Amino acid sequence: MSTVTLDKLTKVYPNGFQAITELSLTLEDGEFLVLVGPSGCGKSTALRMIAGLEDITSGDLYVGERLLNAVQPKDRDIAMVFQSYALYPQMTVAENIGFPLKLRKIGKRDRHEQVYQAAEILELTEQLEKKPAQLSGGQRQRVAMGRAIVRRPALFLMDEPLSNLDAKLRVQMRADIAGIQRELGVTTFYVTHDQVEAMTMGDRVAVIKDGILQQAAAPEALYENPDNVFVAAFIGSPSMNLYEATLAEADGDYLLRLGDQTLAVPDRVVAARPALRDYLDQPLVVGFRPEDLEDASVVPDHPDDQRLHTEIAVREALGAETLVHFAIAAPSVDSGDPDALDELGDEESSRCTARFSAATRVRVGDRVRVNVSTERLHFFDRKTHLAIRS
Amino acid sequence: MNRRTFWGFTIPSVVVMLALMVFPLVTTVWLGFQKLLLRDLNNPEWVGFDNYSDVLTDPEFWAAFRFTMVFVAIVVPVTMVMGLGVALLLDRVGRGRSLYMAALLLPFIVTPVVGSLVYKDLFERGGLLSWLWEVITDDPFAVNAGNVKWLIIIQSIWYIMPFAMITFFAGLQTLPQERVEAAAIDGANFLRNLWHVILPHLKVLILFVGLISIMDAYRVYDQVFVWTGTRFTDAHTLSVYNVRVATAFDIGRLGKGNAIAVLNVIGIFMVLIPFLWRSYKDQIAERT
Amino acid sequence: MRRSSTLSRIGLHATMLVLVVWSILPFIWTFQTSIKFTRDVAAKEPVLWGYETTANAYRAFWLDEDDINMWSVLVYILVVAVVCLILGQIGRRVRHSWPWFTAAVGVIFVALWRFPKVWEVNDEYDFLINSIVVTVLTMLISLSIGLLAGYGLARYTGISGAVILIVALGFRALPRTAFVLPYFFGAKEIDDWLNSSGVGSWDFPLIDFPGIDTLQILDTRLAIVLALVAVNQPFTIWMFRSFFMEVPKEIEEAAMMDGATRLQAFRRVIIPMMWPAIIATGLFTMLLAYNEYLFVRVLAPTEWTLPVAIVSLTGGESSRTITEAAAASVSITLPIVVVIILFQKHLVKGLGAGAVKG
Ligand SMILES: Nc1ncnc2c1ncn2[C@@H]1O[C@H](COP(=O)(O)OP(=O)(O)OP(=O)(O)O)[C@@H](O)[C@H]1O
Ligand SMILES: [Mg+2]
Repeated sequence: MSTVTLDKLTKVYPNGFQAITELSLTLEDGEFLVLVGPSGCGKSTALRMIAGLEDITSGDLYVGERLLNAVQPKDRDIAMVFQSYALYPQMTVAENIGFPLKLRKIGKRDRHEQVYQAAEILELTEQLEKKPAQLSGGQRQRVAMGRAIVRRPALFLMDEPLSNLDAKLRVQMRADIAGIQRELGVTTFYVTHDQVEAMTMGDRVAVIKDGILQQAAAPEALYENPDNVFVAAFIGSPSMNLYEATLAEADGDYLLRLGDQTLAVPDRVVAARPALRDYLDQPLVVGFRPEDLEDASVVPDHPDDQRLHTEIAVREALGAETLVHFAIAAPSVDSGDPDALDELGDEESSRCTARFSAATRVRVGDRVRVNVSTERLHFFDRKTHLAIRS
Repeated sequence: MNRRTFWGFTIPSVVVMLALMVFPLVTTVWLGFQKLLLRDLNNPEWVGFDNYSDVLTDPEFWAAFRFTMVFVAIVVPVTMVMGLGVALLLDRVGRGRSLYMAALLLPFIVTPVVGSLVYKDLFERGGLLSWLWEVITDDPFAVNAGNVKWLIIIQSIWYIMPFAMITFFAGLQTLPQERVEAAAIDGANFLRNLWHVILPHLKVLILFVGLISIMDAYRVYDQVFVWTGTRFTDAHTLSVYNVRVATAFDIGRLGKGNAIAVLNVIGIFMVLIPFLWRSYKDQIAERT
Repeated sequence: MRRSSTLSRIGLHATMLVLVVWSILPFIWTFQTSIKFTRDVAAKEPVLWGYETTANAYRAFWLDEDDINMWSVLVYILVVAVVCLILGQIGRRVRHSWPWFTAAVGVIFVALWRFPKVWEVNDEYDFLINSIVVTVLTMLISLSIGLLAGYGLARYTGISGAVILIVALGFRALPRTAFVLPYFFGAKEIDDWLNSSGVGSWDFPLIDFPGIDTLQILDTRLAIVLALVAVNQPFTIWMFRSFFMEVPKEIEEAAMMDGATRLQAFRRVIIPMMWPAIIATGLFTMLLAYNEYLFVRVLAPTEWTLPVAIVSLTGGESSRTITEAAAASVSITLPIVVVIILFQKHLVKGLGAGAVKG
């Protein structure tokens, strides 16, 4: 049984920097869990604690029933794929892949067989006698994978294994790695800063920021129901639009004041989130995803009081869809994601991104009406940034 | 790497350095306060600073000090400038480079006392250069107290220059080619190129070679000993003077010798402490 | 820039030739002297060419017999050299090089051991053996403890690492005299104690070295080796540290994840990547040990190595001739020249990599 349990893992570096704070997670047997977060948030640190390459400052780590805190890396039965691949330059591909077996004193015959099997899975059989320096980036990546899978460990750790590959290869390897993992059924802990990678590969995705776990859930759940502003902004590309707004009740109808514009919010939306009533007439954070906006001239059949009126500032035709950007006269919200950019915004107006269907005919400078799917609005507390749901 | 593993790896080396460097240094300081003769090592007698006043009033000490300073002041800059020049030339040579290099390295790798001996042979009676001198000036040439200092300096340049050369040459090999080409496209002439591209690239190496050369020149022993022996004591450097005082047959004064050694150590550290401090800061900065 | 004119190329080579002459003139002169007859050396005008050559000086320096054909000695040396070169070249090319290199070392060992059985040798042959023993031992000890320490210092980020490095740098600057006098004194004290307490002449049942009946420090090769290892440590650890810093630490971490202990990772993965560094550092260590004069002179009144032997040759007490001194100089220089020519590339690379960082 290789259930992996992280119980309040904390890491304080010798210089006093606290990189991970009370990280608790459980990986089910065979699960593919992706840890995602912006650069420098402590992902590698978490991974390296599990690997045994960094001491655990406090908290417990279990694989199955076994407490691993004080176990040497070599005895943990965990394999790891490094971002830089860390292949042994003086060994051939076969020797690289066979090294873990050799250390376990597995006989030459068996070793060759297992190395060959691994190489077949990874389509490396042609390369076995080459040295790492003679391989392409993708091949090196596969060798690193091979070294991990050849010994069937209890747990795979992968630290941004695809970030050194070019975009096209990355997409392909993404599918390959997920496929191999499923085939072998080994519990996998995968680290990346790329949320697309996280969403496409993981059975479950854990979002981390500044060493603190924000939310761990299946990709769809994470997307549909982010627990807080950071997760909302971090997951999804382009990011969710987030503004300060006020919800008011007038004659039994709910109105959302977004700068100088007003959106009607259907009763059932508020009814689904009873806590929202406590926020009436107070500033809160509202969020809507770019794909929940649509050009009114494409979908004319939409309540007119659930529309924004604005002027297109930028238009990016992507073929299957068209991204447009415009300004909204409401203060935007700092989600805490360092990668989020906001160059269109200033003091009182902020950028808003919408994903229109390709049928749209809007051009830069056009005044347009934008449909908002109010069913899919997200509400957050302005102070705590937590989702307002129940 | 945790602290225990670290000490596991470093302990043999640290023990060797503690036992064979720190301990002797402490012994040196202690011996410097003793009256202790070579022929009677069993009766050290505490004399306080007597050895030091003895040394500091010894004209031979000051002569050695002066010559050592002159030696460092000439040999270090000359070898570095020459070394850089030769490295630049060598860098331009295409075919035959490794042959030239092997020839140019020879003085540096050869045993210093042997190098000094063979160099000295050129100037001895019947030597090639003393004969040439005689042919040109019509005067016989002999190594004497007047010229031996210069001969030592010239031979030391001959001996040390390849070190600067090979280090700078190695540094030039890591010079990014684009930088050189960019400078060439900008129409930089050689001097501008040297000043703006090459020297900045070699900065760390120049400091490194300078530091090593100062240390080595300050404690020069072998060449000076071969050229002077017991004949030209005027041209003795601090190290030669030091060994002579301490180990002279029958009259060796080990106490005084150690006092000189302590003074030598203090001397080199006055120069080095700023560098050591800077390196320490760098090391600390690297770690946080 | 790329294409220089023929004229400047000729100028360049001319300058280089002048520099080469300045470099090797003394050696050419000494070599000539070593193969001349005494009468030509003593001539008022130097005889530059057309003189009669002889190996008398070499015979007189190394051998204790007068009527030996030096050609046979030369053939002996050449055969050994060629065999070693061939073995070394094969070793470089095949996958498992160790047997070949070991064989080459073995050949040298046997050749050195058999030589005095074939020809009567002078004391100088013992000094040559001393030189070799001291050099090899110094290299072995210095490199092995230096490798370990250099690795630790490259990987550990605590303050004590910085302190060790800086203190070592300070030691590098110290004059030899600050060590050699206390070494001498300390060794003398220990020897006196060994003598008076009788420990020195104990009969140890297990360690019974042939030719050593009393335990002492002064005037042993061991004393010289220890002193050299110590003064060489700062250089070794700095050099190795800068090489280890270039090996990404992920490599050994990968090995540890693969199931190796730290020591296994070091031995089986890191060390094989370090051969260029080991060779470069080894060359400098070899030069240091082989060339040392002062330590040997003070610490070993009779167990000389070659540099001391040669200097005392040319001193007043010796009755040896100029040609013999020259032959001695050539003999001591040749082995080192051969080694350096074989490993010249490593030397340059080592300096580049080591120094740029250090
Ligand atoms: N040895 C160390 N000592 C002190 N601080 C460290 C150490 N290693 C990492 N840190 C700090 O801990 C934080 C987390 O580092 P970590 O490498 O885990 O980030 P990461 O999420 O993997 O980032 P990236 O996406 O860039 O790989 C960073 O702010 C980093 O500066
Ligand atoms: Mg990382």
